[in-house]
Amino acid sequence: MTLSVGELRLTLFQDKTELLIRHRYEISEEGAQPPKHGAKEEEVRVPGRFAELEVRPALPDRPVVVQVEIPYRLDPGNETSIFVRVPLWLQLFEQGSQKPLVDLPTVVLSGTWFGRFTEGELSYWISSSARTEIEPDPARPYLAITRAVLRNTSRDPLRVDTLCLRTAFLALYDDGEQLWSEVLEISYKGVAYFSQVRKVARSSQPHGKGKLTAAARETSRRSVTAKSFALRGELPGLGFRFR
Amino acid sequence: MSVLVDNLRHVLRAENLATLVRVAVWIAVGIPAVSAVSRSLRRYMTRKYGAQQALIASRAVLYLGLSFILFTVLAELGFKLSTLLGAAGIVGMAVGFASQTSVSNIISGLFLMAERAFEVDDVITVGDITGQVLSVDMLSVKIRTFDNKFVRVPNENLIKSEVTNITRFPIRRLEIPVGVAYKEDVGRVRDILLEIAHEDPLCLNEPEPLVVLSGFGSSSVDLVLMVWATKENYLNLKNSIMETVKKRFDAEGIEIPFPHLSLYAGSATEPLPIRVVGAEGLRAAQ
Repeated sequence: MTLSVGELRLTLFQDKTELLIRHRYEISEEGAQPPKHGAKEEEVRVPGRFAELEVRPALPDRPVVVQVEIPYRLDPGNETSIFVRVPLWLQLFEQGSQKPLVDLPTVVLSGTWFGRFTEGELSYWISSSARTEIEPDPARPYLAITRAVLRNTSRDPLRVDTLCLRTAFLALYDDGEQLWSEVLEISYKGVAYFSQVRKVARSSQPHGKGKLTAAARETSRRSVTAKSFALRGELPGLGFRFR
Repeated sequence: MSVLVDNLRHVLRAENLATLVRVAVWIAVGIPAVSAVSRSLRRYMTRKYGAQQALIASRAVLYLGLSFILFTVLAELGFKLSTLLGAAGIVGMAVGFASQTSVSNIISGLFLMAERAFEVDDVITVGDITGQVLSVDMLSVKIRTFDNKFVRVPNENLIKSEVTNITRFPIRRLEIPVGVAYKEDVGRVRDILLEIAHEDPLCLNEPEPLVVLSGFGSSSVDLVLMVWATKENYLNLKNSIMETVKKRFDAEGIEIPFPHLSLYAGSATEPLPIRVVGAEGLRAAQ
């Protein structure tokens, strides 16, 4: 059996003693050139016979970094919302089990570094921009939409440019045509402080609609304190910035 | 000396058997107990604070515990500790003069630990030695090289010389020199190199990849592709990106030249004079 989700091609073989799970990545557009990367096929062998398998979506296992279409200023005391299309992971479970047999991205994402040269977090780079308005896209079910509410609780203006969204502790909702994550609230406290990141247990869908369809990867936390805002060019390729 | 001999005779009498048993118990039980406590502390502190702190704490506990057992045993045997300490002071002075280098290494070791320029498991380069730090001890630092050699570097050497900690920071920049033929379009080459960088999953998007024109060489236009990776992926990225550059250049018809040498005899417009030596010339030479 073969599943095609996004760029992921997953093939399952069940024989008498084991389940063979093969996967590779391909650019899915018609007439696409041979894949430029990720074309190597990998396989996982799971001993046992499985009568039923369950496929569940999940948000990325690392933070995602995204840039707004046009950077703008958020004054102290104000708040704004942005929407981001986040590629989903595909998890395969044995029926009734809580531990996935495989946990694979549906799209090959580039890695990026969010933080400083001396410390930070390895994150995924999202090439599409964060927007203030968004339309559902049922044609690409492997992308969920995350709404982030940005609040400036400091005394200084905030330049909204590059954001780091911690999606691992957001659950997913399904409104029938689009997957939406829980809402993320990020409170900016000033240059010298980390931001307060909190999740709100409701769907990012504008009317809050949707049925809870997948739990968060991390369920032990509802909030974190972490650097969430950065400027374009804050980490130049040369390795230093002129002051 | 005679006091010492008298003390020993006193110890070995039958009525002092209880004392001997106590001493034996202190040694037989105390030493393993101190070792076990030291090992447990090291395991606990490795989990909580890291390998470096765990090593220091466990060794401190071990040395203190063994010293305590030693003094207790000596006190049980009837040795006067004040006399011993007095003698130790004199011996210490003599040893100190004789072991200035060792003392210097110990002091240097304390400074190294306080500075924390590197820790256990870091990869460092000292002189021409590169390897993983196994331990930071009182007199020296032990390093395992990547070809599995054991190197002992005195602490004094480390304090006096330049030490490079390769794994201190989480990301590293990789520089790949690329030379292309003079006939190539440098702008096009730059675009292709940046495309290769962006497509490699090990190459970080930020800090952004960069191409710098480093100079006009004798045989090629020299560029440097600068890309960033996590320290764990540094070597993997180096391999994958260099292979991709070669394949892509071959596919795009971009020439990576080998060194050329052009000969000019006088004026550039004159052909190079060549004299053919035939059979007559050879016979004449003979």
